[in-house]
Amino acid sequence: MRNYIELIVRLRWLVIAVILGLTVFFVKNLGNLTVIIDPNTIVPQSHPFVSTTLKIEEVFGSRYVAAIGVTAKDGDVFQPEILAKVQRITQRLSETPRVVQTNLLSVAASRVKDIKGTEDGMQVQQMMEEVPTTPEGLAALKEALLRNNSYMNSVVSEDFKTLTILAEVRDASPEDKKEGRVGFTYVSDRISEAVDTERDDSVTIEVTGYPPFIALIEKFAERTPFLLMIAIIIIGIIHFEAFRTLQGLILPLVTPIIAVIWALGFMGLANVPLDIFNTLTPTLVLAVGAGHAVQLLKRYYEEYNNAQPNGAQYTKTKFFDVSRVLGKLSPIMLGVPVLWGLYKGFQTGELSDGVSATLQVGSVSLIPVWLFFLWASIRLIIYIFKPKSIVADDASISANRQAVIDSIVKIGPVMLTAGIVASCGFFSLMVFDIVSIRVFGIFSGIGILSVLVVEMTFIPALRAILPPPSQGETNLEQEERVWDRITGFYARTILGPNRKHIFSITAVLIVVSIYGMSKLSIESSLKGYFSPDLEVMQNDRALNERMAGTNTIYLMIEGEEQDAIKDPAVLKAMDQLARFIETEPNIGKVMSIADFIKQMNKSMHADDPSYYRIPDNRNTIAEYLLIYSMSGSPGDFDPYVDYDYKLANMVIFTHSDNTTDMLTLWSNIQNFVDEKFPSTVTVNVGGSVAQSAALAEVIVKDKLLNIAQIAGVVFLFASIIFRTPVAGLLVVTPLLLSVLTNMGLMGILGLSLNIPTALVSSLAIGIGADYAIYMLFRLREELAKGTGVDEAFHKVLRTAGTACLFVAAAVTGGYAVQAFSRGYYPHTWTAFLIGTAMIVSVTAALTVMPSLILKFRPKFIFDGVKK
Amino acid sequence: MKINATTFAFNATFLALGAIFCLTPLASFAQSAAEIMEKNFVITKVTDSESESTFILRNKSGKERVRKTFGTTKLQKNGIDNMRMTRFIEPTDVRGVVSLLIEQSEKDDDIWLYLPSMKKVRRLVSSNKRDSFVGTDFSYGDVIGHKVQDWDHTIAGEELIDGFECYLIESTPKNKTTANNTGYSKRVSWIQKEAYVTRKAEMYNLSGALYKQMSFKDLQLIEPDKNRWAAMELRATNVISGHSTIVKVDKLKVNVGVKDSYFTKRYMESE
Repeated sequence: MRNYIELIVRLRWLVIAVILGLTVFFVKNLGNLTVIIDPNTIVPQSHPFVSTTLKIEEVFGSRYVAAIGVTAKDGDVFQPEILAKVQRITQRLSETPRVVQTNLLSVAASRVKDIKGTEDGMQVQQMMEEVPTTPEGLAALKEALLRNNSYMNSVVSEDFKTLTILAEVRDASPEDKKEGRVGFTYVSDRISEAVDTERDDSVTIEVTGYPPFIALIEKFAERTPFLLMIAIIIIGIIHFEAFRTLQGLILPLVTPIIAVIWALGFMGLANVPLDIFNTLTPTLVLAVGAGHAVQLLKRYYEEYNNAQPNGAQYTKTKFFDVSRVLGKLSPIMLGVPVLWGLYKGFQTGELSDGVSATLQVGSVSLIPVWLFFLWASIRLIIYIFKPKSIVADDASISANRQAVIDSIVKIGPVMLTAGIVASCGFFSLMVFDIVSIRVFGIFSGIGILSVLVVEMTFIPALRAILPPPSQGETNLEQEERVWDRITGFYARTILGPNRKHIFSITAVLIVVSIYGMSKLSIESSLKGYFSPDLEVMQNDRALNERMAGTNTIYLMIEGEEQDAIKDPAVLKAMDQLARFIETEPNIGKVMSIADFIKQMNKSMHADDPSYYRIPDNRNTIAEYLLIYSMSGSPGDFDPYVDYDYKLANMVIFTHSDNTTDMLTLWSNIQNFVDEKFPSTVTVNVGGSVAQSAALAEVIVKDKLLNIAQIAGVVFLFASIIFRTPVAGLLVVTPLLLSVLTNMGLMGILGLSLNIPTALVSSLAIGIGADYAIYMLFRLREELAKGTGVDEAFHKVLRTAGTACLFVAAAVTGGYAVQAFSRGYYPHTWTAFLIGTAMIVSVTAALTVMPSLILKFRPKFIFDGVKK
Repeated sequence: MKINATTFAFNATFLALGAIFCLTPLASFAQSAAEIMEKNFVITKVTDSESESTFILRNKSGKERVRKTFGTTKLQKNGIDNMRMTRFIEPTDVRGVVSLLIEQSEKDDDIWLYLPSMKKVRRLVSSNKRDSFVGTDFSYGDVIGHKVQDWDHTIAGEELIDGFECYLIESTPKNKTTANNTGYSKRVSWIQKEAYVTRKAEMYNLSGALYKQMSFKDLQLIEPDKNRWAAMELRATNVISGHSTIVKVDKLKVNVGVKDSYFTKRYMESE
C-alpha cells in the first residue's frame, strides 16, 4: 500500500490527467444514456399478474386506461352542445398516437352500439353517430343508453350528469420511439390538448387514470437532478462547517461527483437505461463517496498534525483568518436561506418557490464563501507557481505529502474493504426479477467502485498538489466543536456507568420498531404517491365517485381450444362471475362479451326482458356473434374476446386502487371460479391495479430478501476480513437497527412499504455498514498501538466517529431539502427516511456497537492490547 | 348442400366490386376523369350470378376467421342495386345461416337473416354505408360503388399495376355529406386503361390519414356481351387497425337466370 501510494504521489500530475481524461470520456458517454420511463421495468416480469397483463395488452390492447369525465354544470348531459364536446374529444382521441382507437369507449365511439329489438328482428346502430339536436332525438339517446346496460355507469353516469370517455393507451412501439412519442407525458399532453379546447362554463372536465398519473411521476422526476444539486451544495456546506476548510468543502464532493459521472457513463456505454425509480442511486453514491472522503480527510488532518515538524509550522494567516471567520458565519450563511426557502416553499406549496427563495437569499449570504473560493484559488495559483518562497516551506510540503501517504496507508485498506463489501451487496441485487432493482444494483455497485478508484488515485494526487493546510486551518479543524462534543458525550457514556442505558434504550427501540413493523402495510397504490390536493387527484376523486370507478382490473378467461368462449356454460359462468364481482366492495361495474350476448338475445326476442340471459344453445351464440359482426365493425368486440374465441377479457371498474383490496377480491374470484367454472377454463387477473399488487407482493418477499441478502453479504465479508463471525455481527448490528427503526417508524406513521420507501432501506444498509467498518478498524489499530482502552475509545470516537457524524449530518441535511417537493410523496418519504436511517445507523455505530465491544470484549479487537 | 341453387350474396358483392370498373375497351382520347369513373362504376354489375367463396378475415396479430359461403345475386331493375343471398357453409357452428340483402343505394340496407338454431327469419337493421360490409374491411359503399356524381375526379397520373397500364384517379367528396356518409376524405383508384376495371384503390379517412388499401386480382371478363368483369381475389386492409380481408371466389357462374324466389323469406326458411 505504501509503495502504491508513493507512486501515486510521485506521478500526481499523470494520475490527475488520467482521471480527468476518463471523466471527460464518461461525460461524453452520458450522451448514450437513455432515461426510459417504462412501467414494465418496475414490475416483476415473471409474476402471473404481470404476464397476464402483458398478454391482455397483446390480445385486447388494454393496459393503461385514461378516463375523461365531462360533467354538465346545469341539468343532465343530454344537451347538444355537451354531446358535441364529447364527440369532438372522442374524435380527437381516436386520432391520437398510442391511443388504441378500436378500444375507445365513449357515447360517440363507433364501437358503442345500441342493440335494440324490433318487431321482426334486431337493430344495431351506433349509439350516437350524429349529435341529436331535437328533444326527441335527445330522449331517444337517453333511452338507448338505458336499454344497453353495458354502457350505463361506464359511458354515462347513472344520474346522467357525466359522460365518460375511456381511452386505452399502449406502450410506445419502436416506431413511436423513433418519432419521439415516448413516455406518458407525451400521451397525457395530447389528451389535455384534446380536452382543453372544450372547457367552458357549461361543463366540468376531469382527466384521470394511469397515463396522467405516470406523466405526473415523470414531471416530478424532473425535479430530481435539481434536488440532487441542492443536496450536493448543502452537503458541501455542512462539511465546510464541520472541517472549516476549503478542502473540507470541496474534496468530499469531488469524489462522489466523479463517481456518479463514471457510473452514469458506464451505463451509457453498456446501453443500460436509467429509470425514474433509480433516481435515488446518485444519492447513495453521494453519501457513500462523501463518507469515504470525509474519513480520509479527517485522517489526513490527523496525520498531517503528527507529521508536521515542530517549529516548521507554516503560520501565515494569523492576522485575518478567513476560514475562521467563515466558519463562524457558516451556520448563518446556510441556515438563513434554507429557513427562508422553507418558509416560502410551505407558504405557496410549490417546490420551485422554496428553492428559488433559497437560491436568492443564498446567493447573497454565500458571498463570503464565493470570496473565499476566489481567495483560495488565487492562493493556489501562487502556490503552484512559486511554492516555496511565498506560500509554504519545504517542511510543510513534505509533511503534507507524508500525511497524504500515511492517511491512505491507514485508511486505504479499510476503505477498500468497506467499499467492496458494499458494492458486492449491491451487485448481488442482479438476481432480482424487477428490472428496476437490477439496474439499481448494477448502478450503485459501479458507483461505489468508482468512489474507491477516485479516492485511491485522484484525491491523494490532488491533495499532494494542493497547498498544505495552514496552521489556522488545522487549528480550526482541531478545535472542539459541537461534533466533538457529541462524540465526546458518546465516549463518556460508553465507558461510564450509563452504558447499560444504551442497551436498554436500544431494547426499547427494537420493541417499539417491531410493534411499528407489525402495523406496516405493504401497499403499492400509485395514487398513494400523490398529495390529495393535486389537481389530478381531485379529478380522480370526483370522477371516481361519479362513475363505476377510475381503476381497472382485467380478468382473462382462457379456454383450451378455439371457440371455447362460445360455450354457453362458459358464458353463463362469466355472467355469474360478473354479477358476483359487482357485489364485492368498491366495484362499480363489470363488462364482458356475456353482456352483449344477453343484450342480443333480448333484442332477438322483441326486447322481452326474460330473454336477457345467455342462450342455452351454443349455435345460437355463434349465430349472434356472426350477425353482430355483420352489423358492427370487425373490431367491435376486440376488447372483450379474441379472434378465435379462445380468450375473453372481463373488464372490472373499481373505485379502489388499493392493492390489498385487489388481492382480497382476487382470492374471492378464485374461489368462485373453482366452484362455478368448467374445469377446462382458466381465469387469470391483470391490469394496472393487479400489476401494482404484483409489485407489492414482490416487495414483501423480494425486498426483505434483498435486505437480508445485502446484510448477508456484509456479514460474510466482515467475518472473513476480521476472521470471526463476531465482527460480522458487530458490523451488521447498526445496519439492521437502522432498517428496523426505519420500518418501525414507517409502520407507526402509517407509511407503507413500496418501491421508493423500500429503496431507502437498501440505501441505509449500504451506508450503515461503512460507519461500523471504519470504527472497528480504527479501534483495532489504536488498541494494537498500545493505547489504553478508555483513551482508545475516546480517540476513535473523536476521529473516525466524528467523521461518521459529519457524513451522516451532511447527507441528512442534503436530503432534507426534498421535503420541499410538495405534492409528490416519494420525495418527502426519501427526505424523512434517509435522515432517520442516517441518524440511527451513525448513532448505533458510535454507541451500540462500541458498547457491545466493551461488554463482550471480542478477541479480534482486543488481541493487540498489551497486557 | 345445394350449391347450384344457392349461391351467394357476398360473392356477388365482391364480384361486383372487382368488376365495378370496366366499360367498353373502345378507349377514346381525352376522356375526363369523371367519364372514366362512370365506365368503371358499372363494369361489375353483372345480371346475376351464383358463386362459392372463401372469406378470410385476419386481425392485426395474424389470427384468422375463415368463412365459406354460397351465394346468388341478381341486379335490380335500376341496374345499380343488387339482391344478394348468402348461405354460410363454414364454420360449422353457423352452417345454414342465410342472409338476404336487398341493396338500397339511396338508404340504409336491410339484411334478413335466417338463424337455424332458432328456426326464424329476423330482420337486422344496421347502420350506414360507411360501415363494414358484413364484418369485412370493405364498407357497404365500397361494395355497392360510390356514386360518380358525388365526387370530384382528377387524373393524377398513370401507373403500371400488375403489368397493366392504369389511370391514377383521385376523387374527393363534393360535399360534407358524401364525406360523412362514406367516411372518406379522398379515394385514389388505379383504373386499368381500356378495360376500366379497378386494380387497386386507396382510401383516406376524414382526418386525412391513409385508411384502407384494396387490391383486385385475377380479373376476368365474365359477361362479355355486356362487358362485365369480376375479380377472383379481392383484398382490403384497414391500415389503421391492421385488420384485413381476403375474398377468394372459388366458383362463379354469371347470367344463369337466377330466379327472384331465391330472394324471399320463404326460400331462406326452406332449407
